[in-house]
Amino acid sequence: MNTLISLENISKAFGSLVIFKDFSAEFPVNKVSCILGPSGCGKTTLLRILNGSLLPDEGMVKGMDGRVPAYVFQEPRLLPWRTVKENLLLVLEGKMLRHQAEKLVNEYLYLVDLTEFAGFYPAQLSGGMKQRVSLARAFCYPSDLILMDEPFTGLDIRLRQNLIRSFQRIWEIHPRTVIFVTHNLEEALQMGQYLYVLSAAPARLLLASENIPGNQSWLKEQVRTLIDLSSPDQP
Amino acid sequence: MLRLTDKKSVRETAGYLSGILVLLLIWHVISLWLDNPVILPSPAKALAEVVRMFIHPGFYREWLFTIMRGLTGFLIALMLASCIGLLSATWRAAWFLFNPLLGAVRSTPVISFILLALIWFGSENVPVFIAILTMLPLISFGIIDGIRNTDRELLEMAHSFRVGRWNVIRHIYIPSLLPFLFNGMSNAMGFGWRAVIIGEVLSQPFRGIGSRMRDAQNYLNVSELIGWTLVAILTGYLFETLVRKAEQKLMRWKSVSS
Repeated sequence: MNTLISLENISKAFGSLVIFKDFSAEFPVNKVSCILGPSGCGKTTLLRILNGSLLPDEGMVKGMDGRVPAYVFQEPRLLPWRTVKENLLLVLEGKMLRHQAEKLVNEYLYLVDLTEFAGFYPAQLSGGMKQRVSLARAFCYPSDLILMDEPFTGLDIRLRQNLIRSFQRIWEIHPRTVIFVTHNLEEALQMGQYLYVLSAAPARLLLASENIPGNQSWLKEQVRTLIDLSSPDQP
Repeated sequence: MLRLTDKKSVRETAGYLSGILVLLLIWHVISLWLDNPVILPSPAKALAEVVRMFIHPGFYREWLFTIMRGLTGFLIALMLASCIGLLSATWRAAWFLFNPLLGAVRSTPVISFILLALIWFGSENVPVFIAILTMLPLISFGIIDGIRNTDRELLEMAHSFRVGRWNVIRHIYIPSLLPFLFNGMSNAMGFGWRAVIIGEVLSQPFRGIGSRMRDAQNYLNVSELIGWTLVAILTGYLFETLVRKAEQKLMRWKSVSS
């Protein structure tokens, strides 16, 4: 069993736009790794390469061992014509027995505090609740790797804190390898046990460090000098 | 909340009814003024004719034949449209082939098909053929639009969670194309009945509303002609309502709100 998921000498370009050039990084298994970078630096591309939906032009991904990662998108991406419970069951179908799937779904809906809403349609839920369903969908999926693509963007601070707490609560009970992408420093420090800072495209790894309470202010200082997150469009 | 909508629907129904009443009144006045029941019978007389038709057992036989033709045409059109829609949405070459063909069929006057069909087929088959040609483009374009409008983000989600192909079709493609399909089908029902009856009038099969309308016209029996017309309107309305009811039933998730 690998203890690392690693990207080795990855290159990827879309036409003349070079996103990655000879890029390498390693993510520890069963930890939450946060990738921080200005928007447009290739964070989503990185997740899609890990997900297997995008092939790198050069280089390889190691340590995946054929596993299919679960995904939390920026938007909830729920089927509007299926109830909360049916939305979760859909991704489990064919991967386990029906009663196992039901049990799992009930457990994760409980963990995100949505047990009473199992029979509701997405249109009946608030934005934060929908994103919690999306979180439950990723965690109930039989995978030990979860990719998260700025899932809290567009939500207000209170909802964001709520979701982060939901996330931490599930993760403590059922730890997984999580690779979490964001351009919000506070969020990254709060969620990530490991912190990776990317430059603007073509992305370079500016910093990779463990995030422990003792070095948070140092990390904050470092990140602020390395990249300018307040004006993410500037290179 | 419920009472308010009830009140609103009551007011709406009352509005429709009074509209119909005013039209009947105008009809009545014109018939009185013309004073010639052969040219224009009074609404009461036309209604009496409809009632007389309804209690005559032979009427249902004629009606049934027209309904069977319309439904046969509809089902065949639906099956063909499903194949064409599926092919066109998944295979570009088929789209380039079918798009101009369906567009041309949609713009062709019904009468051209009837005249051609009269040469090609026996009179019994003309109305069904016409029904198919009228409904086919409407339903096909509905299906094609539906497939093309499927949310790419949901498809990407299903792909990344490795949802099986059959489940993607059943739980993403079909529910997203349903509103488009139903829109196409209720349009098809509206145009289809008219086409079937025109086909019957001109090809004169043994039984059917259109054949009886032609007979009534030959004998200058205006009240019977109006009676059959009312039956034709009723038929179209009935089936359009059926389609809409089926749609509401299938898309209950749309009517829920927080």
